[in-house]
Amino acid sequence: MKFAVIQFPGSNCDRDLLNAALKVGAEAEFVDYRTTSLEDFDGVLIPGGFSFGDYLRSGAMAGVAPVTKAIKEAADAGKPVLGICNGFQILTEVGLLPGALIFNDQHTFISRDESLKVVNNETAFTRGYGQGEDVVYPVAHGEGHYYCDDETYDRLAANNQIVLTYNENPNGSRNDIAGIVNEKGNVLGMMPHPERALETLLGSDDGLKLFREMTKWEANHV
Amino acid sequence: MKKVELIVTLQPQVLDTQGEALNRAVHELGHDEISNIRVGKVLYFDIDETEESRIDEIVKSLSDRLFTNTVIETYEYTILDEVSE
Repeated sequence: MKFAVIQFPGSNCDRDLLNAALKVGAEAEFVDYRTTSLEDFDGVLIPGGFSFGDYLRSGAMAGVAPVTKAIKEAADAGKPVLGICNGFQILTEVGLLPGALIFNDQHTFISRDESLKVVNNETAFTRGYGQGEDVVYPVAHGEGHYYCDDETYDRLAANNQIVLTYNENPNGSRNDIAGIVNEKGNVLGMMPHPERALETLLGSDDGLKLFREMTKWEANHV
Repeated sequence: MKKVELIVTLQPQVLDTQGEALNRAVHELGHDEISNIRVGKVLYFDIDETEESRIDEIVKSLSDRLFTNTVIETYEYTILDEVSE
């Protein structure tokens, strides 16, 4: 399993994400945002940070970068695509995931460990967790309030696309949503940072199982 | 060559945290007659086109694709006077 870790100008969780993939035994390489094909990769990891300085809106400029077309092709081909934090914002900007991320309700940047619940362990990303399992991942975002209209929410709920929720909603996200998958189940976006939860020494290793499951993609994704 | 003024605002049902904070600040300044502050963005750009239908087409396409996120924002634009070369 070989992952592409996309680097936009302003990405800052790219090394953590590369490290996460390597730690669970996968191959991983940095891929520049000007790249036009991801055919050589089995999966895509979109890191957090402030791509293009959050100019205009978070994720807006990354949404029209050359590599984005290749990310869409990878998603269409059924490869796993994981977007974390700014990566989640980018995935909603380009329409691979529904809804949008807006400013936290209190308009402050939140950086702390957050208690979360895996509310769907039937995705190929989350099979390593128990249904309803509580996990701790750090969050670090200013625009993490998940917004969607009623119709979209109903669809997300009906299709079991809500994967991760906050136990104590830090940002005003609709129905405590912290992470969602697309209908096909191969594109996951989340605001919290599992790639920063890989070592008990640093607070939590709850993120390991997510990356481990991604390395078993072919077997898991039926 | 024309100049375009594009105004981008959050849709009315989307929480505008900047607007809310400004509202409070304005009230603290004693101006209770002010309410419902909404903060938006304005983009100005020149466009090397004179035909209005073509300008509409380009501005709408770029607004839907990049300038705005139509899930949460709405936009309106005005084609301003000829830009002097």
